[in-house]
Amino acid sequence: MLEKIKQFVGNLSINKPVFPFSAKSIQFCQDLSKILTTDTKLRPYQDLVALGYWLRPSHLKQLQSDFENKEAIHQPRGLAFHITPGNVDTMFAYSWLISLLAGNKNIVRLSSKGGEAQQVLLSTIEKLLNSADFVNIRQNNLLIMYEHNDEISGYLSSICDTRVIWGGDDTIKKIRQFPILATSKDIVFADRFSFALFNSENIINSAELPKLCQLFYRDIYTFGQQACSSPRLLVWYGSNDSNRQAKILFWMEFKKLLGQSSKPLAAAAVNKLVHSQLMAMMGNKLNMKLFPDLYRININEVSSDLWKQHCGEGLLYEAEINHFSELNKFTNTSFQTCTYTGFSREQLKQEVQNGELQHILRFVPVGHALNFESVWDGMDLFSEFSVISTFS
Amino acid sequence: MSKFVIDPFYKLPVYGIAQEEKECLLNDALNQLNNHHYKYCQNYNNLIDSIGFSLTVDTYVEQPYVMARLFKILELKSVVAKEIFKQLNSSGTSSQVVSKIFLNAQAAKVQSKVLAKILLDLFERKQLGKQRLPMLFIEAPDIIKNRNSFSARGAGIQGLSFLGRNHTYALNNDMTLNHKAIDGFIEQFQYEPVLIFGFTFMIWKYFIEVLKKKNKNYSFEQGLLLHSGGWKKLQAIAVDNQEFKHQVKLALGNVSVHNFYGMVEQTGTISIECEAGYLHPPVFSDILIRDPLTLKVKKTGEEGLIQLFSILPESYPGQSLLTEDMGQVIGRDDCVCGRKGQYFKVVGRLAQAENRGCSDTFSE
Repeated sequence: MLEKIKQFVGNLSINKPVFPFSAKSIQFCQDLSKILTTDTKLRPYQDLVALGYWLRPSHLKQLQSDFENKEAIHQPRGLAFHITPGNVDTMFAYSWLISLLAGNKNIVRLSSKGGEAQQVLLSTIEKLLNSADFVNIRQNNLLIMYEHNDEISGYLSSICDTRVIWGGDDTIKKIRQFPILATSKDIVFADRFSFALFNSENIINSAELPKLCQLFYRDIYTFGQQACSSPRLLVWYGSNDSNRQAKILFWMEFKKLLGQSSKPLAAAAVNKLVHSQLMAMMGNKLNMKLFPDLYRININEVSSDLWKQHCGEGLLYEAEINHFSELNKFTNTSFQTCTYTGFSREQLKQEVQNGELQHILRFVPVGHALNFESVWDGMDLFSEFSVISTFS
Repeated sequence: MSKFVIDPFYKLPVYGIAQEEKECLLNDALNQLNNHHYKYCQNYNNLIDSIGFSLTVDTYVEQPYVMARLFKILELKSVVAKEIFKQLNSSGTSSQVVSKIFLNAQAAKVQSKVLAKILLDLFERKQLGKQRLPMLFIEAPDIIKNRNSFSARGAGIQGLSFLGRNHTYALNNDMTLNHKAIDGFIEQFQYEPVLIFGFTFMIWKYFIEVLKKKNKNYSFEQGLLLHSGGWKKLQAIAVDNQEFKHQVKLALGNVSVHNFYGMVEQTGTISIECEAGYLHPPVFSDILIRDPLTLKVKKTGEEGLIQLFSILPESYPGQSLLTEDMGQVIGRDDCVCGRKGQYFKVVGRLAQAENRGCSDTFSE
């Protein structure tokens, strides 16, 4: 494996130079998009369809014009080494393709824990790369899968210009042991946790509760509730009275969705049971509402250790607040997405500017928790993958 | 506890109590243990209060239970640090996370005593006599090197060794056969009752298969082989209990083979496989089968998670554990082997949902 990688790296310097948003890289993304959105065999893989949609021509154009309208000139950093996660099958592609569009050469280490969708996506990409159209892309991009190997990771770290580490925290710590060049940089995605914020007053008066439930269901159950942006906590905002009412109405409606979709896994149920007992043993007063595919646990606060133990697969902490200032009993610097309903964008912006809702990097309406964006974890990835030249 | 819950049980026959009566006796002992741990283990106390379990209940079904996996996450104990006499760890083959079980001197003594009682009953049934037997471990001597922190395997060996004499290790520390030791053992004890002990997969891989390859076999005149550990690895190479027994006999002669089921969280109260191939909990312990999704108790013959009761744990709250092993109750009081009480089968481990959380990029 190492030999193969060294050979690939050795050839990089003799390949033709690449540029941001080159015609070939755009065409590659478009072709991939077309396959992912039109091949009926891929329909069952919703995350692949979502990736295809993200790469649709109009969105690529938008990304390109955003990129080219940046004031300073953005140039490729060079060779990017991506260590990608196993929890979301398509994540490696987003990481890779943004870097590719920004004009970088890439070596992408794929997780061997990836699921079926990753396999399907890989073979689709492989087919495309093997066509004569994309020789140049094939020469400059290598997707590899290798078992934990210090020699390979050390070597790639020592030669890359950008190292992308999709966490969690343990992986980041581990990979950072391998030195990178003084001029190179790390882009790291640490363990993150996300929550949903519901305006109770709004729920009580909502005429579209069934729709809201469906959207929230999608936010929770996509990727087994194990993505960084999957909501694990639901915070009800309002007076005690309206919080109580909204919860009753919402859950009455939401319950209709449970038990209908794929059969809940016994192992998932046991994981949730272990987690609930762990929370109880650590002194959290639990008020549990159990369904085989959803455990709701009422809590008053969450210790930061518990977030890491959260097993996903339909386990939801629930809390009520009267004021935004109470949110910091739950959130911390590891927070990422707030999935909201019943608030306006301006209202939330205002709260952030007022110093409430601190540490939250991303606000999206319910139903959009898992949508990937090129600004992620508070970083504009197109800028992160570029060096910036200024002129005065 | 001033008076030990277990004390009256020593006098009872190991498999002589009918299920209905056994449940009454055990339920009462479990209630006492629940209250004991509620008082001395803060984590257990929190659990009971938070989940709303009752400490004193009328039947098995209502007994509060602790998820066995929690012993891998928390240090659960009902004794203060200075009282800890020994710490047991699970072997943790697939994951690096191990269970930690804390014993005070009394708890350690009780475990040995109960294990001895269960095994002596078996020796008697096998007419092996009452004296200590020469003992062959299918293990390397390194396994019991560290006396302060035992793995489950080390603990098993240590627990058994006082029932035997002339302890001999069949393997070298590099897991190759120690021919000299084995030949010496057979020469000396071929014609008397012997006890052989090991872990199922280890016996197969490092002993039976190697002997077979070398075309070597022994003929003990009267041996008893006790083994524990899962069948998963053997199933993968298509070896079942019957084949295992058959091959052991080919390799070792007249040896009767008994599997047993137990876990480090409840060391001492093992369930031994009877002549009919079923596992029997001794008078000190019992099982209940629960549905993994609804947690409702399953009927005889239905598969589910194994909940294990044991009245031994006084230094840690392990008296009622919900495991992730799947099993089924086969029947009660009517096993052809003549032992009373429930008897059961272990089907395997609950298929684990893959944890694909954020932090796993490199833990593969």
